[in-house]
Amino acid sequence: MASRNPAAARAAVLERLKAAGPAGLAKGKLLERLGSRGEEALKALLAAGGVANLGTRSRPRFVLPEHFRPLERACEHIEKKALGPKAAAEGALALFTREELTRGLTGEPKKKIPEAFARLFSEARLLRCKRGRNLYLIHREHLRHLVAREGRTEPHRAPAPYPPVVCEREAVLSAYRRLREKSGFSHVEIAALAREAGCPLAPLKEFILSESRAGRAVLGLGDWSLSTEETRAGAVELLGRPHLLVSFETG
Amino acid sequence: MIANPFEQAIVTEPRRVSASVPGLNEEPLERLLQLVEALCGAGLPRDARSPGARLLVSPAPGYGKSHLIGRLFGRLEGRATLVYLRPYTNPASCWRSILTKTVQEMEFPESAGASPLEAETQLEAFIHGVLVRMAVNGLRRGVIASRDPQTLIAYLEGACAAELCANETWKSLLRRRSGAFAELLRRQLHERGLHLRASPAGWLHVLVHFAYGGRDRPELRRACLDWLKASGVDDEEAQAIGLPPADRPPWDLAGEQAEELARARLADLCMLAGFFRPFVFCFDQTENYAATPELAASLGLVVEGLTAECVNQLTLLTANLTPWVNGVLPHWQDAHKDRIVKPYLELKGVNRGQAAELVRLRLAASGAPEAIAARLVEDAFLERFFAETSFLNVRDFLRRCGERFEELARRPDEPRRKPKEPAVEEFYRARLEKIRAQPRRRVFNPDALFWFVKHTAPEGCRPLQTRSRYLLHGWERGGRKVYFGLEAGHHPRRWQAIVREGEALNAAAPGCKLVFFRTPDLRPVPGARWKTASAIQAARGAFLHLFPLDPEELSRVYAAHDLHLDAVEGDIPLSLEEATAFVKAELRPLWERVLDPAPENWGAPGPPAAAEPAAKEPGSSLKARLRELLRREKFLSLQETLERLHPPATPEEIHSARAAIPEIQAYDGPRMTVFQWRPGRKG
Repeated sequence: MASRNPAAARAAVLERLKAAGPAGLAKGKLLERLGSRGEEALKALLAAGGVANLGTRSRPRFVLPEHFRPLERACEHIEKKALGPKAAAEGALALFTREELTRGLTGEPKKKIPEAFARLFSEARLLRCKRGRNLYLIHREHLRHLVAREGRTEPHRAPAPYPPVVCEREAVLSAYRRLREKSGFSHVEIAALAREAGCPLAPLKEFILSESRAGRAVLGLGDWSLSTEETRAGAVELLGRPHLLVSFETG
Repeated sequence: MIANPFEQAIVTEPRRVSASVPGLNEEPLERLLQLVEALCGAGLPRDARSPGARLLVSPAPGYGKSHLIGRLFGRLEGRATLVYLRPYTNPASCWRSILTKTVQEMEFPESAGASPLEAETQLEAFIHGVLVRMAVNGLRRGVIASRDPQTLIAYLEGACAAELCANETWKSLLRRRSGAFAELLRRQLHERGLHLRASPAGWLHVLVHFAYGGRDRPELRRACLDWLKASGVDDEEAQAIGLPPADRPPWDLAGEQAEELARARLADLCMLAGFFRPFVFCFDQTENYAATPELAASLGLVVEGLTAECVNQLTLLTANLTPWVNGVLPHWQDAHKDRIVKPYLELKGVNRGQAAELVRLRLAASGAPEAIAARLVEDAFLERFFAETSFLNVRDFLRRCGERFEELARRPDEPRRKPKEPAVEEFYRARLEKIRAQPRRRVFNPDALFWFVKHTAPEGCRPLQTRSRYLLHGWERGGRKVYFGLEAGHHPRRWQAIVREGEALNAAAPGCKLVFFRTPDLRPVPGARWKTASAIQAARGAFLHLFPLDPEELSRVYAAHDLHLDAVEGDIPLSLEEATAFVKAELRPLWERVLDPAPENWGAPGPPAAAEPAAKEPGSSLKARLRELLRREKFLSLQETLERLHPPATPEEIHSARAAIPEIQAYDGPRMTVFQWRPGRKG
């Protein structure tokens, strides 16, 4: 039954999205049985930023703001394709083009394709192979396994997903303190922090984002135009903007 | 009309800061206030030394550096002499630039829009403070004899500058006993281990003459200002002021010697500040010093010089982190880096509570409808940002609020429009309006003029090197050479030397010309009594172009310079290339007049000015009409004001009148200037 109460409609929309999690919901599913109040509630929430659209205008996919991570979605999609069953079938490694790896991406993640590739290249998770004017891409996991199985005769299996690396909190904070002491500034470059802590960028960024949400870290925009590629690779996206710097509350 | 109250996201003039959010960047502000307080101890004259310069750093543009400086200036009004320093552009004349700006700042009242005709200037207050304190010290110690020293002390300490200016006994005493007062000054400074570089007698004569010299010879007052700026002073004028010969700078001082003198003069001013209030030198927009390694390195030398040699002052630098670390610091010597005290003062963004308060403050000042106001502070809007982070970049937050405001203020039947970034022209117009509204900006600014000469010349000009002590740069176009000098001084022999140099250049390359810009605050050349007047006038008919920049042209050049500085600083979403292309096109008509080879088009060299013109006061009728209009309407844009004032006035006249009305506050946004009536507000 359609809700007559705007506040109740709004609460219903938010509850449904919370239950849906990162996957989000299409419009039809989201507003099922909520009627015009639901439409109004969704409109208001979108305008206020309480709900975000990961999809397109014609095929929206609504999520809560904390799941609005288009860049991460784009990276996941690309890696999934590059690591999928087609990647290593028939005893040979398949090389992919950019278009093949991004096929199926729509909406906001599609807009982040260039940044996603930049991140995956900088973290060496995707490798580039060139033949003439053509560029092909391969995930590094396939090379690792290819080298490892020299001399073996078993059929090649697609590797297990790379286990997530977790940054040791104290190692990161110690590295941060050293950098802060050296420069005198509270904000340090995220890329420099990764080097100092010996921590790969991807898990470090996750760590920083979670610390930011918990109020224990503050991201700083820095200056993109004056930064090197390496510094830019350390960018953490927050509220739609790449942040190059971080400071921690170290007590 | 509902103006978007979030449009003015950038503070372009620190003295014009609107109400502040409690707690926002409070820590660095309080620290700076403590540092200045530490310079204000008892026992005048003071000899207070800061351990070093202070750096106020921001992770990126938009965290509120200039706003904090504005708040600092507001809190320090009446307690320190505040000198806001935009970047100098020529490292070879950095000390002269800083000294000139210091004296120019002191020529105006403390309040941003006030005119020197309406309120006491900082220089008048400074001189008054020095003379009174020195005399009171002398009375207290019995060095100055008096039948009733306590009564005299009470009178002096209670009298304002205007009262003493009208007190003939006091003035006569200073004149008759100038030697004794000079010795008094010397001794009181010596007790603190301080020694003026110029003689105490020289200082006393200049200060006394400036303060009490009488309005019958305004040119002598301006000669005092020239001396304060370490420029040469005409012998006859120096004699009239009472300057000892040893204190008269050589008329041909240039290069390193001129820099040394400027540095010494600044150090002396800081010593004398020990009788009055400390200086705060604020170097803002420091990203611009990264333009060349020499410019960046010179800033390090300046910081070192100020902290090592100047007492009773605080040197404050503001910076954005990445450009400072990557663009400026690499060119500093380690010893200069060590002059900046740690820990640095760092800005944070707004937290959630401060963000809500910021929105309320902006809305309260704007008169926006309650319905819109309520939607803007609702939790859902703020939660969007603060769920992810505890602090936000202030400017970014204001921009998002501006977009939200536009959305909420949109009528239901109006189509949604994509927020439009102001075009480069709008940024320029905003800066132009701001300068028109501020008399203190429309003075000779060698840095802005040097930038104009060096960086905005039209296509087809080829740069020329100069090896001259008077000429800084040159351009050649169509086979004709044009040389530029920046000479604010008024010494006849110096101008004679300039003419001789011009004659030599003209002989070597017929048709060349020398251009010297003259702004309204500079004294007319040639002077009325100059023996060299006829030679200079003859030169003006041949190769010497004394180019007068009226207030409007000056505003345009300076607005273009401000646009350039803000583009470098990242305060506006414009690349340097876009800003440069715009200013070149905007200033093209001016350049055509500058490069004009025909002397008959340079303005007829009439007879030398018989007297110095008096400053023009805004008409009382216009002031009254403007006051009444704003009192009635409360809130009007400049455009609306122009339309409603009858008889009409020009924007320039309106700005000048508004500056003299403390109840009217101006807000300069990227798209418009808005006036607000605020009764009870003091100037």
